[in-house]
Amino acid sequence: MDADFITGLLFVAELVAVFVLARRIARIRRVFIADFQRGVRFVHGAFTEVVGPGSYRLLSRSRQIDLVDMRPRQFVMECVNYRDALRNDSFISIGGELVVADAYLSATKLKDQFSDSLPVVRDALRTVASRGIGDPGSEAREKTAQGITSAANAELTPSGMKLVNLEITEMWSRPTARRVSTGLN
Amino acid sequence: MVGIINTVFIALVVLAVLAVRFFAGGYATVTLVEYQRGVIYRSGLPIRDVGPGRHRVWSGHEKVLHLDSRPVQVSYENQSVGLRDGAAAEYSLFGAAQIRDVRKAIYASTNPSLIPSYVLLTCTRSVLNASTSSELKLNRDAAVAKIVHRAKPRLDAAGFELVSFRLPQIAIRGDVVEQAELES
Repeated sequence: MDADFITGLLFVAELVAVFVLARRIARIRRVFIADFQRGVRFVHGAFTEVVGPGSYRLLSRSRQIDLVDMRPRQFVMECVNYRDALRNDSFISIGGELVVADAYLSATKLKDQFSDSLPVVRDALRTVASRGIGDPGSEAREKTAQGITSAANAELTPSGMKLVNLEITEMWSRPTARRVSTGLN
Repeated sequence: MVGIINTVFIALVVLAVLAVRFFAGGYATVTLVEYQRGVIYRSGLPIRDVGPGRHRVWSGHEKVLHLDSRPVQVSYENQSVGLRDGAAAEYSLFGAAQIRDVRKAIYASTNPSLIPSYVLLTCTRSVLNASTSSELKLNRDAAVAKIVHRAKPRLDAAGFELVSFRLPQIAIRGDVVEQAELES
């Protein structure tokens, strides 16, 4: 082998090395996690850890970080009808916040953390409210709100979600007492 | 020949370094227009609030999160609410709120622009549900004042300022339980 052949071979090797390096660099992805987010890290499809705020490099496609937003998400449920313990037609409206309590569970158990949690809240709302007698007093409201929060959280905890700051904005039962009709004003 | 190869190799290495800067980080410019407010985050933590203008950030390590500071309009038509005396009221509400503290607003919700709707809806419903039909008929302004009084601190806590609020329509309908029965 002459010197020119070896030099040519080295040149090709250099090219291949730079090409491979460039491909690797092109595959580097960065994930930016703000302090109100958490990242759920998977390596080769398996969960490894929950990472906090910072900037992370993903050196290969087998590594992935799913972002989870830990900020509250507000919702209102208005005029949810039910029958109270005295079989009166009633309805209730609530406002509250859903927050992620466990980033790993919420990322792996729920497709959409918010939308998938709302049916659970609605179910807890109906179950707890129908045990009461539609008492609109502030103490009864507070007690009902606590009951709904506890019942919803018992269901939501296994999927890493939590219901907080629930307030009952409306509680109304069709009154059984004698009425004075005012008609339409 | 070897000299040429070395030159080409150096050129390729320089290209690779440039590629590293391109893919893995480099300075980027973010421009906020006059109605935008933002916060610069470095390594995930907020470092300073920024207003309109050009801001240089090291991409990958730094990020500018920005929000629209123009007023968010809230408008709901033909909502129904049960009143304290058993009657029902149909109402419409109209309001507007504006971001005052961008950092508070960013942390208040996954979608800060929904905060005004949420606060005004819940406060309006709470206040109306605690009112009687005669109270609403006689003094609608008092109900509006109560709603504003309740909504303002909540919006403030979320970084918003209430710009306007009114109840353009309240119609009361249905059966009313006599006041004496309510008191008993």
